[in-house]
Amino acid sequence: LTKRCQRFEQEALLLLEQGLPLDAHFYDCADCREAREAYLRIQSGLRGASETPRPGWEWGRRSWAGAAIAAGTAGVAVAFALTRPRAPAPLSVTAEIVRAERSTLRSSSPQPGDELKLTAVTGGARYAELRVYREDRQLVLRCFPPESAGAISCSRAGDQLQASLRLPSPGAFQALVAASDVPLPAPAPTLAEDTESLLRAGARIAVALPIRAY
Amino acid sequence: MGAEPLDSAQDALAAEALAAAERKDFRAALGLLMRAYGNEVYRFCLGLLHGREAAEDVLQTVFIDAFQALPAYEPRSTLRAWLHGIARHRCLDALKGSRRWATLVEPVSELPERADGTPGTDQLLATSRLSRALEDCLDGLPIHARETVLLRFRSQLSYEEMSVACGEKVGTLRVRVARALPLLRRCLEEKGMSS
Repeated sequence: LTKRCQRFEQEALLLLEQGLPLDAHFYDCADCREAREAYLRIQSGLRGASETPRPGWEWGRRSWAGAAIAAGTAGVAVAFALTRPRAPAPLSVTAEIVRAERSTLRSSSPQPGDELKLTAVTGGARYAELRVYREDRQLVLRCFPPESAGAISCSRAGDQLQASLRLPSPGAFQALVAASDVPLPAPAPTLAEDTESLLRAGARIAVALPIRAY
Repeated sequence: MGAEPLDSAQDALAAEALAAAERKDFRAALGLLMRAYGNEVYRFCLGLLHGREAAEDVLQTVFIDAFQALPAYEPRSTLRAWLHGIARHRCLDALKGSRRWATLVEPVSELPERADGTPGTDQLLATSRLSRALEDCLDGLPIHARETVLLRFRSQLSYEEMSVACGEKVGTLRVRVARALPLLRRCLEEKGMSS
């Protein structure tokens, strides 16, 4: 049995990490050359991971996370307080896609023309509103029955608020429900400013998982 | 989070973030940090935690921590190093927390076993297998070796940045990396991957 040369692992790896040059042996020795190539592949494999968090992670599954970020330190306290067990009835919003009928082959991803259906539980609040932002900065839907803007449908039944929207273009669509026992402030130009404004006005908010249309 | 910022764009975003923090606009600074480093910190956390949900949870926590710490931020090193330091602590906390993280592990989606005969598919399968084997082997490293290897090769921090993130001497970290790489190579060979 031949034993392979260990010098690359015993000496050269550390020299390379120190940014120092290698001596001639490491270029002449077949085992060392092979080892060097193996480590380059390993390093490349480690670097090559291309996973990304899902779009809208900043607004997260935890409804308080994005709100806290948007609303500043005071918002952090407010949002954490909102998630404590003593918080009033739960507030939630879910989003689902209803596919548009088309005769052509299409991808499995949501596309413009598909319908975004939203269902929110308002936690028994007197005032509640669904809002949808595209790319965090374009308000594309408001639903506060009997008023609405941009919605195919918008209705409230008891504690549930329902709305739907035809996805107008590619992009990330972020829905939120806001609820309060006092009138809600008008929307702000961006999602971040809107959540900040809502929290400052004492409203509670929850956000849905974002939907990305391609 | 949109497209990955190029290094130069990342530097520009970091500079903007620092400028925003200096004028006390911490909300703007945080948004810029998220754009610049969100993906990178996520991958680091994913390498340590191995579950997308777990990594996303920690990612959010990292940036909330960063937001709260920004007013006291002192540029002893780069923002990347500072953020990775926070991420490292948060990931270690999560790992220490309990075995519940194991329940959050999502299997990597399988590529089709039947190749369609094109070299591209073979290449994809090989890359996928190597990638999965590497993740398994990373898991087998002691935690401090794993985080050091990830900071060095996945996040591509300099040793000076790693020193800030880990609170350890540069020399210690260099040795740790040089010792961890052969462990990864052996592990891959044991899995039939002639690295």
